[in-house]
Amino acid sequence: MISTTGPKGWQRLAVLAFWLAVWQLAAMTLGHGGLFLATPWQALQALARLLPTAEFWQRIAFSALRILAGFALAVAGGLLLGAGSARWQGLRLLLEPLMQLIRAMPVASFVILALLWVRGANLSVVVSFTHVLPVVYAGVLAGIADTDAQLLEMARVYRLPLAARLRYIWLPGIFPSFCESCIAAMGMCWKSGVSAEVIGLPDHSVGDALYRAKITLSTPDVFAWTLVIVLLSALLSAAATRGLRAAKRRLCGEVRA
Amino acid sequence: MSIVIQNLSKRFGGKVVLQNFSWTVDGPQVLMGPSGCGKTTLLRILLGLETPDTGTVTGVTTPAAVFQEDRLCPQLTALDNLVLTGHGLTRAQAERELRALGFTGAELALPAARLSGGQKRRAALLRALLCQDAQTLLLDEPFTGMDAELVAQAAAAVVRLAGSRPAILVTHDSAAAELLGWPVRRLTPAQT
Repeated sequence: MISTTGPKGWQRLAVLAFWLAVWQLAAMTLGHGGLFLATPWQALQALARLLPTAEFWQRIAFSALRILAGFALAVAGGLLLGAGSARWQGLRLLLEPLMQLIRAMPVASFVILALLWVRGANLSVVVSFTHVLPVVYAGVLAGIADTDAQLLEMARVYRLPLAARLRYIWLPGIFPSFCESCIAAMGMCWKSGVSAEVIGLPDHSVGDALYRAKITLSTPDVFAWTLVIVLLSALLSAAATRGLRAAKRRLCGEVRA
Repeated sequence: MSIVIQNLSKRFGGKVVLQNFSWTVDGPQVLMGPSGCGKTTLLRILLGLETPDTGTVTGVTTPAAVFQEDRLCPQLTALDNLVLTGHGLTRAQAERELRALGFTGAELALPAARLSGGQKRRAALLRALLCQDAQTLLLDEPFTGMDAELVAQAAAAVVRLAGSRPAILVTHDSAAAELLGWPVRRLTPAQT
């Protein structure tokens, strides 16, 4: 029989403990004091060492600001281009190969090309923008296709103003796909943004710290920074989910007489 | 203002749905006929949602409609749905009419998605009847899913709120048509 209930809290903890044990065993097997694979404890110690330093928070702020700027620009662009493509078939045809190309292009190739056009400091803005754009664009297009055509007919018959159509019919129709795409894109923008920084090496960035840890063979620091990136990505994805759901409730939930 | 339909024809592929259909509607009237004889297609043409192959329609101004489906915004309450399309309808007026058709306080607080089929139908009917700028009413099977008692209440509300506006109410329910007391036009496949 297939279980339809989600895992309980203790089950999640047990799974986490299992994988930490696997990690610990693998690191101990490889040996060399964690040179090739740091233990969980070494990674946590490295993180504890980094956390109280001002440089750590400056790097987080530097990278987050740029990666999130790229994300925000891509969301705005994806909304505009998605709406435009749904309205004009020609624009959709024109954009389709471009979006497919961006989706298929490896981050490394794009970063190397982008380095020719922008300064290293702003590289993560461009890279996160270009990797998020096709995801949000596809989400908006799917959302528009999912919007209830019968409600749109009703709105036309009842002469609903554009603002009301947007708020009560288009937004609830588009939001599920749009939210999903934004949440997926939030994870992607961190991966692509930090990858760009590791190649472009802008000073004061997370990617630069990751690279320095690698060349100085500070494997625990590599793990600590990776953990930070994963946590930031998860936290911001969760924040995006909550924010978007709250926005949906606020925007689409109630009619003011 | 009357609705004037002249020589209306419509076919979907090889199937003729309406053929040279003419009718002048200068007040509320009932349209009856068997399934598939073109009643819904006629209303969709009057609403501007279908284009006739031939013929003309005049006199349909600022319509309000009950569609075959309820077409309520699922995330909004029945009250919010009515206010949304009411063109100046007050919440108090909408609530009064909803309560008169059997909505309780708890049901008024529910989003439309969680209402029963009959409740949704009543809300869709009141949405059309209470639309403040509607000069034409086009009601497609508005009593679907209601029991006899509710049909009687809903028919009384239709008569009271439709007034003398040009209106076409499509039904297959002879008892409901009798309750309305409006002239009945029968649309048969032979006529189409």
